[in-house]
Amino acid sequence: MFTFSVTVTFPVFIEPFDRLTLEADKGFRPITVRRNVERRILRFSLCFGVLATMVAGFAYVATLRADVRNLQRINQEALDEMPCDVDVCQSNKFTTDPYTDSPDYVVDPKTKYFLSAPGSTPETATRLASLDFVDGGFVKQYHQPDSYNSLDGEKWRLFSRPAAIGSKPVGVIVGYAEKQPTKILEASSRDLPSIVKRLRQEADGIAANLAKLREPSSHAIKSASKFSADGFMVLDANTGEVLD
Amino acid sequence: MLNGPLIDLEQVDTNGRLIAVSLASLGDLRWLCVVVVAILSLSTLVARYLSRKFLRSYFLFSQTRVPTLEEALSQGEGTAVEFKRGLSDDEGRTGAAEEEFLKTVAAFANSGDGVIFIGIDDTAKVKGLDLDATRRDRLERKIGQLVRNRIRPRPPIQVTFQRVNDREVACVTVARGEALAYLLGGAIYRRHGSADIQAQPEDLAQLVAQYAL
Repeated sequence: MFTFSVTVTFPVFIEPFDRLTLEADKGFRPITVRRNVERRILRFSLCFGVLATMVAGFAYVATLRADVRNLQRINQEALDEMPCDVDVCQSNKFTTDPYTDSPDYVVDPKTKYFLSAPGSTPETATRLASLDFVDGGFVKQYHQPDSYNSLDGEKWRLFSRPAAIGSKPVGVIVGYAEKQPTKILEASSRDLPSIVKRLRQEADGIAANLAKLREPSSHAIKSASKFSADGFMVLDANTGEVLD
Repeated sequence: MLNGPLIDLEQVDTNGRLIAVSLASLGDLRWLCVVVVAILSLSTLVARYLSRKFLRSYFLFSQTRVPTLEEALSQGEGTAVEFKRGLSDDEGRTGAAEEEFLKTVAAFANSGDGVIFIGIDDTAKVKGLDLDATRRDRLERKIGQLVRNRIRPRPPIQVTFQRVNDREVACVTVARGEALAYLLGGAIYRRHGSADIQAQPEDLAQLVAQYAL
């Protein structure tokens, strides 16, 4: 935080000031010439400084034009490789193309489903922290295990349950990929009962670990048993913020 | 170490259904603020230094207010206006006309902004100067040399030329200078009405008192 203070001092003596005003009427002008010139120079210099800063800013932004055009190209190429019809978007080509740069994320605004999710580096987590939120209503739909068909043709078995970290209510959701076209993966319907059982066990295990914590910690959540589902999430039950 | 929120440039594109977002980092907000403040400060300081060195005269004259030629012709000589018939053609020669001219310059520099019109007599009749391009340059040079060599410190003056009634007149604008006093031959002259008089001791005291404010 920067603070500026300006101190203005006024002449203490009134009489000489009046005398000088009289002298000014006779042809003498009170000597503020130097002060006026200095003031004008300072004003001019400040304007010049502001202008120079703006020019530097524009120059910096101009250098980003090439970057912006590149980002636009990356976005467009990714979108071109994800054609969509009414219910499904094909992301196979994008996912399996090793030569195309990825945008930071691709999302369907209607379902809020990420076809290309942000990476999990600490830098990404900081820059895209505003994305780390989940629709609590969506999570509550899976208090009974059920399947979810994603926009890109994947099918997941999801299960969620409430939990708590200290006095803070949280939600836990775990998932198992029943079908993933990009990985040529499809679970048999005979495996579903064991999948559901495994999901319940994993969710209960996570909830039990969370109950031992005062604060969320990824080490504690995964340490109890080998996590054998395909994904999990711990979220704040009130705000939807992803805690782990 | 300054750590603050990162600023990103966000490029968003859509194909009608999906939104693709790519980010380009502009940097840490605090560092950007520091850089902005540094550029602002540095450029202001440089501009101030250069302005004080090279543009001082410009800023001084930008605040001078002197009568125009038309106003001077209608009002006549006064506190801020002096008419001179002319100076000698010889660049090196300093005669009575030149001495009077220098007294007026010194008086204006000590008292207040003023303008000397060369080519107009005391009755405000425009006689004009016989000037071509060469003689104009010579006159301007002569005025500059006279002022520079004879008055200490050098007062701020500006020489321009104007035409009135098909006659050319030189206008020497003198600004009230920044110095305490301007001396001509060791004497301080001040303007009193339309006359240039030598300053008395009480005038000097006033000059010093004003300068100290």
